[in-house]
Amino acid sequence: MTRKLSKPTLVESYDISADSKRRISLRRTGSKYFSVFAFSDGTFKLEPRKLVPAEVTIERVERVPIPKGARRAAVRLAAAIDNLPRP
Amino acid sequence: MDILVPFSIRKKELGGTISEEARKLFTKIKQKPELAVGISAKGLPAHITLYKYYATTANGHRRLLFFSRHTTQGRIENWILLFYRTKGDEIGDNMSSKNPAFSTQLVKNMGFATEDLSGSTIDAPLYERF
Repeated sequence: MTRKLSKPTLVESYDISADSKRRISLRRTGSKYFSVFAFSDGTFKLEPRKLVPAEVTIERVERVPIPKGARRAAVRLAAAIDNLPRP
Repeated sequence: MDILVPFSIRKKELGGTISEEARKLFTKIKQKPELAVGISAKGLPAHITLYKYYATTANGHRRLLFFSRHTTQGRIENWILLFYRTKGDEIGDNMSSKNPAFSTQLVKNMGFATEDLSGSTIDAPLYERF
C-alpha cells in the first residue's frame, strides 16, 4: 500500500545576498540539518534532513549460498541449542 | 543475548583460553549485535542465521562468525561462536562459500559445537557463557 504525501505549499519568498564567504542565512527554519542539491543553472534546493533515531537500526543481511553439508550440521546444532539444560 | 563458546571451539579457535581481547569483543557484540552482518542463505532453515562480525582490536583485525537460533518472535539470546580468525588467515580472509577451506571448516566446527552442547549438563557445561 502506498501513502500519498501532501504537496508542499509556498509559505514564504524573499531575496537575500550571500556574504563575503558566499554564505546565506535562512529565516525561520524548522530543521537544523539539510540535504543540499546544487543544479547546473545555479539553483539550490534544500530538504530538511531527518536523522534516524538511535533505537532504529537496520539489520544488514548478506545473501550467499551456504556450503554443502552445512544445512544438516546447522539443523543438528539448532536442536542441540534447543535441548540445552536450563537452570 | 548470550554468547556461548563451546570448549572445542575455544580450543581450536582461541588456543584453549579466552583472551582479554576476546572478552572485550564479546561485551561489545552484546551491546551492539546489530553491527554483525547476517548471512541469509537458501540452504539454511528459516530459524537459523549465521552472523559475521568484523572487529578491530589493538592486535589487528578479527573475523568472527556466530551461529544463531531464533524463534518466531525474533532473535534468541544465544549466539554460538564458530570462528574467531584474523584477517590474514586463510578462512578469516574470506568467510563465504566461495572459500573451500571455510566451507569445510564451517561444517566441522558446527559438528564440534553440537557435540559440546549435546554433552552439556547443568553441573558440567561444555561451554563458556558470556
